[in-house]
Amino acid sequence: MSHPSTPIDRVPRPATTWRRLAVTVLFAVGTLVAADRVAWWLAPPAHLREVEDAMRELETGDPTVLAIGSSHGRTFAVIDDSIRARSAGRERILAVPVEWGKLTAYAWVLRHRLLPVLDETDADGRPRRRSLRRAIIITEWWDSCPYGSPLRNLPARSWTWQHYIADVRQHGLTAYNNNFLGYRWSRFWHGSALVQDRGQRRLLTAVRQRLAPASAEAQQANFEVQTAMWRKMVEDGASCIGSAPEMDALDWMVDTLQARGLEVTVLLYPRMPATLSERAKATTLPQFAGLVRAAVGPKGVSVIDLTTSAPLTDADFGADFDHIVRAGNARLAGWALDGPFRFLLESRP
Amino acid sequence: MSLTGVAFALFLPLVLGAYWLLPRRAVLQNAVLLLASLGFYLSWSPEWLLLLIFGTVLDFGLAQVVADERRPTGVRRLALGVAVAANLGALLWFKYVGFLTDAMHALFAAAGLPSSATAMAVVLPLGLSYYTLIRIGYLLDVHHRRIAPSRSLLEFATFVMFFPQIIAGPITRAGRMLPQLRDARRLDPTRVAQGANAFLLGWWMKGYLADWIAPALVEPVFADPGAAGAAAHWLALGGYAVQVFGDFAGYSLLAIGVAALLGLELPVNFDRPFLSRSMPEFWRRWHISLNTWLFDYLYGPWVTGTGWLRGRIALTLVLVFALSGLWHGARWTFVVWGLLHGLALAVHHGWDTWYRARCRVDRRWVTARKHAAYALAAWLLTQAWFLGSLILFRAEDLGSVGRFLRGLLGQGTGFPAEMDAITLVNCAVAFGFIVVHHLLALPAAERVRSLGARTPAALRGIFYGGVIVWLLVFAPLGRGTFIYAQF
Repeated sequence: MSHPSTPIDRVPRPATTWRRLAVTVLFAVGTLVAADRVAWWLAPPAHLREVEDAMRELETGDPTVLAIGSSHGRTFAVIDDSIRARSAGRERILAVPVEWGKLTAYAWVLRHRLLPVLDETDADGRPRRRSLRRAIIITEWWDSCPYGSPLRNLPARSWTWQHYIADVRQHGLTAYNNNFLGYRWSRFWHGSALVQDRGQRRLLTAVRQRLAPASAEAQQANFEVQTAMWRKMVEDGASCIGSAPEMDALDWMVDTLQARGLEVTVLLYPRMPATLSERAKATTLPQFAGLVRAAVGPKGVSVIDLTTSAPLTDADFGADFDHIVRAGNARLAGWALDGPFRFLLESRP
Repeated sequence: MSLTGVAFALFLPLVLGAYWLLPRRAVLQNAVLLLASLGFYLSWSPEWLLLLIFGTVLDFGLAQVVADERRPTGVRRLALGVAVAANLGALLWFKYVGFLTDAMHALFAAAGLPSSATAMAVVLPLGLSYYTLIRIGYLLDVHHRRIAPSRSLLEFATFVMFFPQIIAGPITRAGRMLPQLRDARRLDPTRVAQGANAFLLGWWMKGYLADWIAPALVEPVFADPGAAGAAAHWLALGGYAVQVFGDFAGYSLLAIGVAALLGLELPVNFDRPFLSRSMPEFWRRWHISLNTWLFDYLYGPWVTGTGWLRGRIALTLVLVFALSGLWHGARWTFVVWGLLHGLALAVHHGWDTWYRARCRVDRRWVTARKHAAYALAAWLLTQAWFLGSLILFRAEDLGSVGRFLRGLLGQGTGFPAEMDAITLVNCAVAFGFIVVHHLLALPAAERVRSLGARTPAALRGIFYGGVIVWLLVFAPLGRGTFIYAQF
């Protein structure tokens, strides 16, 4: 049997010239750009604050409060705006949101990203950033359950090129460290709505919404499905809360921050009211709050539990039932600075 | 790094830049390719790079001895024997030692004898199954004087380790690749266009078709065979045919496309296999480079040689395909899969011989064979056989094959997961693409093909741009594994 020598494509094509090739590429790029503009118009990508943004601010600034948590930590970027306005810039919060993070991920960011900068000294050996007096660890029950899979968002959102290269040297190119590269690639194309929408499906949702907007009944049905799913998830959380690695990470963070003379507060983040069943309010949530109090209370750390006590309604939460929308965050900021977070405006004794 | 991954999207422009910007001399271009191939392999499997290098150097050296006519025949044969044994030995050890010890253990247990054989789990070096065949093919070609041995280690190593093909083929031949590597390559717009076209088509087939179908239709059913209803099982089986075709034909096209961008031509590996109307035709269209290798280096010499298998076509077919099954994986399901295909080829051979005899006696048999009903029946039988055999190809063990078969007959109920509209649309597009892709190769589609070939550059660009937009919107994230890379 002879070796096949069929051309790449069975279809015989006339020889291409560089000119034809250039025209093809030009029109392909043109199509892409045009489609991207349409995608921008339909679903403009939202810029979300990331660890990288916080690091840039820290390197050039001198915050008085460090607030670290998952994507929920973004709430403190809004509180920062309020507190700066109220204190005429005297108090400044550095919000460090570790997307899809848990306590071990926050501890990693604290150890490998924040501390090296916080511990920088000037030529005389004095700390370069002397204003930092308080730290807030933002958490919820989910943070204390073990990860079911590797912390793939840690390389993506928290690594630098140095961490990536060190990991590649140690383990080669892996699916885990590829998350860093994938995320950098996505950030590189930050001007493209199509690239930013990869894996998000916001564009498809927007198209569907324009072509066939969901009826009130359909929206209500979706609301019920989503809330049922959330309620079950929170109820099930009772069986996984308090995993040792996550609680150890909380312990380590508190010790590390206190060792630097910081007043540490743990905030139990507010949840969307509809997603919490009576059963969850009697099991997962108080059990988790109890675990946190038992872990950090003896160290003199105050725990502020806003899980159910914040004055937020379902309308203050986004379509994912998890994150507070901008207006909700602004309302929460105003209320918190008049209430449980009033101490942030006071000088530390 | 996966050919559809971000790392490769950064790696390829670097390689292309160095390759085409340096002075266009064969030695420099080969050096760039070799460095790139080493880097590529290092990124996948750093622990086995030395094995790859050692085997390559050994084969290069021994091939010189094999080809040296000044040496006694015995010495040359010994060199060939050592080289082939070293290659097969590595393949046997890394790929089959666990399988063989397991089989021995089971055999002893069945006979009621105590067994001291302990199960061995040896990690398979990436690409071993492919580069072993490439190197053995080279050694045999040199031995049979089909080609002259490569006199340059750089050229030979570049051929063996060529990065687009090392993980999952196509299984190239020295007679085709070495002459290409001997001369400096020139940038040619036609080849660049062909390469980009093949790369995009490969990406579409792997990154979109295969990766949509697998989680939507295939994986949920095969995860628990027999649990879902009959419709879910039939869809999973059809979906798996699309997945495995999209995955492997897609990978081959990606490799062919990258090679073309580097001014090199790799052999075609798939040629619309779902048009086949007989099993021999199927295997001339599916994984062509493996099957031509098996026919050229095993089947041909065995059937036409002086050994016991001389003239025993049916038996040799069964044997060769059992080995093909075993090559795919050290599992009984693969062996049975290979045996089934060998059997089908043997039966077809018998049928063909019988039918030809009838044709010689009565021309009505010739007419009957040209009839559309005959063609349809032959097509249905061929595709059904292939589809059925895929259950063995996908199943973890023979037990799950039985459960899946019962599932096909309606043992379970419902679908394992609810599919949203987007998933349904994309699954339909995947199936539709496979149908159109095959229909376009039929003689009746000649006009459409020539129309496509004459499409103005601007329209072609808009079409490619549209395809990329579709991929950006729909190609799923985070699935870079290729099925055939595991073999």
